[in-house]
Amino acid sequence: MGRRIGGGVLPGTADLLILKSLSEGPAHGFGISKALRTRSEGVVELQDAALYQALHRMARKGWVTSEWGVSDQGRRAKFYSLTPAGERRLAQEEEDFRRYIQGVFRVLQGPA
Amino acid sequence: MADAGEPRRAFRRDGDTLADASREVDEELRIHLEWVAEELIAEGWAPAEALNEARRRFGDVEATRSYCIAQSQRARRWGRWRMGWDGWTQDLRYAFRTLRKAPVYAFVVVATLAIGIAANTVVFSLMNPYLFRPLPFAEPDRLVQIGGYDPTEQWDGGRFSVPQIEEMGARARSIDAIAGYYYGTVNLNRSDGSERIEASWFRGPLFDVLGSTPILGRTFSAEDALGEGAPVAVIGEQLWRTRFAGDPSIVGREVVLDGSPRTVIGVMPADFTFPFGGIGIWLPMPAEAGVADRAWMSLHPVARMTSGATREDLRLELDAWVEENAPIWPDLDGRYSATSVKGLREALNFAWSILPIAFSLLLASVAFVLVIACVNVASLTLARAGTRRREIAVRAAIGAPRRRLVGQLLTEGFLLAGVGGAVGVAISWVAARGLNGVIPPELFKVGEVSLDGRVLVFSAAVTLLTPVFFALIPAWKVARAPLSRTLKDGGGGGESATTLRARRILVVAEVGLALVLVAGTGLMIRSLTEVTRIDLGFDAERVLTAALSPDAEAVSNAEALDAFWDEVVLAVDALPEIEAVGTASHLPLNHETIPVRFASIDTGVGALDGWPGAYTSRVDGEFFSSMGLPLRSGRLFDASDDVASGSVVVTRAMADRLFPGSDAVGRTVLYGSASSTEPIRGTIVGVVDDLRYDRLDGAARPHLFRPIEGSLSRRRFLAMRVRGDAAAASLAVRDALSAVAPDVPASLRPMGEIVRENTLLWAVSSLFLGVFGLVAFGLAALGIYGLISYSVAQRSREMGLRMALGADAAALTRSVVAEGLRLAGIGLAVGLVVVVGAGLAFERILVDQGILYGVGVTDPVTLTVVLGLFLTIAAGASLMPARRAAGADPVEALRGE
Repeated sequence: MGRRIGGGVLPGTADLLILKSLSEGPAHGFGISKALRTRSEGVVELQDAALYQALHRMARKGWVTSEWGVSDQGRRAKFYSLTPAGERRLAQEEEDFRRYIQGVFRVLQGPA
Repeated sequence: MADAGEPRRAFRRDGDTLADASREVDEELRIHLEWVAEELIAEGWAPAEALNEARRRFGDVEATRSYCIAQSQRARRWGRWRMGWDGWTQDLRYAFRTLRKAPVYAFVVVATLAIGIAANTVVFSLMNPYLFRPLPFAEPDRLVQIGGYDPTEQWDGGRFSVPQIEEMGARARSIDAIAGYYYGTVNLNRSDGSERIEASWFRGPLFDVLGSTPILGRTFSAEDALGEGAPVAVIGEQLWRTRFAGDPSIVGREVVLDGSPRTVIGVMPADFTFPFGGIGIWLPMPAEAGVADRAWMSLHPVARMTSGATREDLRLELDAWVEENAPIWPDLDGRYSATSVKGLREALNFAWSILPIAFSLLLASVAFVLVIACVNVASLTLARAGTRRREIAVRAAIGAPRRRLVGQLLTEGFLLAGVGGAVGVAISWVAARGLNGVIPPELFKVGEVSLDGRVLVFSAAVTLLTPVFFALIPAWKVARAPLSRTLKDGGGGGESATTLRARRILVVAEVGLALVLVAGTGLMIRSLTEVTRIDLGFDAERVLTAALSPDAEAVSNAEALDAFWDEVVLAVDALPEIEAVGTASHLPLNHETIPVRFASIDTGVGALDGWPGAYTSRVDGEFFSSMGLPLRSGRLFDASDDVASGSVVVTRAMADRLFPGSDAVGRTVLYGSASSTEPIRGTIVGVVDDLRYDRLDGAARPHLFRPIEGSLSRRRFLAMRVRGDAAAASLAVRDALSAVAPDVPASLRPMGEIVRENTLLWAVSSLFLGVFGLVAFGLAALGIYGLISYSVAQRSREMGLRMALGADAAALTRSVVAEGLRLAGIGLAVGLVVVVGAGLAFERILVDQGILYGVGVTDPVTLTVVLGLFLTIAAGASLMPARRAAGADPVEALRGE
């Protein structure tokens, strides 16, 4: 479902970004969206549609679980948290991404 | 059921529905959009616009909604499956643990079920190749064999000639292709000796009709099939492997058949058993054998119907053809009043009329065994459920849903049945291989008796159904038992009155079922004994037979044949081990009969097919003495009697029929085949005793012997009366034959063996029923033993008390044994009613099919013996626990519990 992902993020990095922000603790969709924008100082802007699709897809794959709860502001919301499988996935994705970016940089530096 | 509400609600919360998934997604997205809209309003957006803006910024709301719902529903479905699986594996582990604590129970149950399932699997795998396994031909449903219905013989397997078969093919629109075949034996000559093999000759595109392909080489071309080109042959895989050591270059090699060479052009696979197993070679019908002769009606037509045509269509077309031709050829086509069109499985199996009946009897008896096994296991399981009631009640009280408890008991059942089934299949695998030798290969079957996928599916079904029988009753009782009472009982393993009653009913049923089987076995064994006691009319015991058939090339005329046989007889007669030797064209009870019609000159009017029937064979004078068939009046054949002499010897039944009350010797008999127009005249020179010729049971049919001297039949039998040791005589005869006729294969068989082949139906039925009867009997005895020892254990306190109060140990024993006998008695009464009722209902069929011989279904001897046997074993089975109880120390018994 990559077609909904775009605009503000590199294709294929949405899962990585969401998993990463969940690694700090359970969060609801609205919170994740805000955290990504704040943390990246507005550079990373994941469309909400893509965010929710990714969350449900990852819930099906067992990387995250969800539970209804109440937010700090007293609002009812669905909270997502990482499962052990999700943590393993995050480590894997981080590693892959780092290696990819390093490769890209090496290419950009040109022949030695 | 005050506690039924809570578990149900808990259950619903766990497994929320798919509709819940979409509701949750809707709510999640709505909350998100409202949240964003509130922020927008705080940033200064007009409240009316804010929600629209939030949706715009979100992206495609609808697509996201349906995507999320789909993902969430998939996750829920998977989750529900996982939960079911987890629950089940948990049940399984629990079942393992509980069964480990009751190893005796587990062993007895598994063993009992294994026997029940094995019995069913073996019988099904026995039936499979005969009734179920698909024929090894392309689209077998379109294949049929055509027979002529002969109203005088009441036989619907009448054969046709080549011109007739060709006409059928041209005439019937339902026929796609047609061929004809017949079978017999040929000598396969090899440098190291010859042997007789079964062969099939055909005319027409037989292999195209059947749609079968060879594993090596090719089948016959149109030219080969006409028998006009170079002589060729196709051989079977079995012959190829055994006689030609699986030589890969067999195609193109020459073989010598009946003294003339032929080229092998192909090898057919082992499962190509056409027209039955044991055929080793297929040959085009020789052109000179009457391919243009309408009167040479010796072929079975086999046809492939056009797709969509039914057998009924074809039969109607062929009947019209018969009707048209009957007036033109009254002696040929007119022999048949109609045709029969049968599927190949039915047509090719000689025993088709009795096979389904024999198999249904078998299947019914093994089903009985399985039911008895299940009843036994149910009884044991009930007893166990009784002792486990406290455990189960406690688990129910701490909140285990009843559904889970019942599921656990069922899981235990499936586990036991699964292990039992696996053991049963292993037993059947061994047993099925042993069965291949029991049934003669001439009964058409597809492949060997073995466990194939079909059998395994059947066994799996039986295995899965079994726990339903034995585990559901206790499970159902648990589901219904009121909790509070069980807990209050103290639950010391006290069995409730209803459980005990249920167990009693099961044991009664078991005894009744076993009685039916054992009584059936008894009747079968009685039939077998009666059959072997039948007076054959001759003395088969000390007779050795040999079949020889010199090559056609070597003996081309009657003189050469007689010279050959004279030499053979002389050589054998010279042996000290042989008392007398005679020759015959056919042997009694050897599954070959030549029917003939007969009459006296006075009564011989009208068409022959209205005359009384008999069988005929050609013999010499020594045949009677070597077979021990006594002469009653006149004389036997001597050197002056040959084919031309017109002398005949008849049996008493024929003489009495022809000339009641007066001597038949010297008088004239008219005889001929039913279809012939002119009878042959014979002069009766002697009358011999009646003999059983076509079958053991039933009345002896009249028989007409004709001289063999000068006849053109190449194959003849030697009937040799043996002096002394039969095995030594057999060796001596074999040596003598290979010295005098080294190129002619001889098959030696004791006459007793040929006779015993005719008792196969009873012998096999007795064997099978006997095995099942024994198993059922043993299971019933175990059932009684188990119940009585259980109830004695339950009553140990009461008994100890009675002993302490001075009761007599012998009286106590008697009361326990009486309980066992009462149960057995009720079971036997019920079984007796079933035996007599069902027996009388099926007596006609059983007797008509010859399954019961010389004994009625209500045979008092059998029933008395069987009842006595059951009562003895019931007394024995109850005596053991009774003795134990009476011998127990009263103080101990009172202290226990």
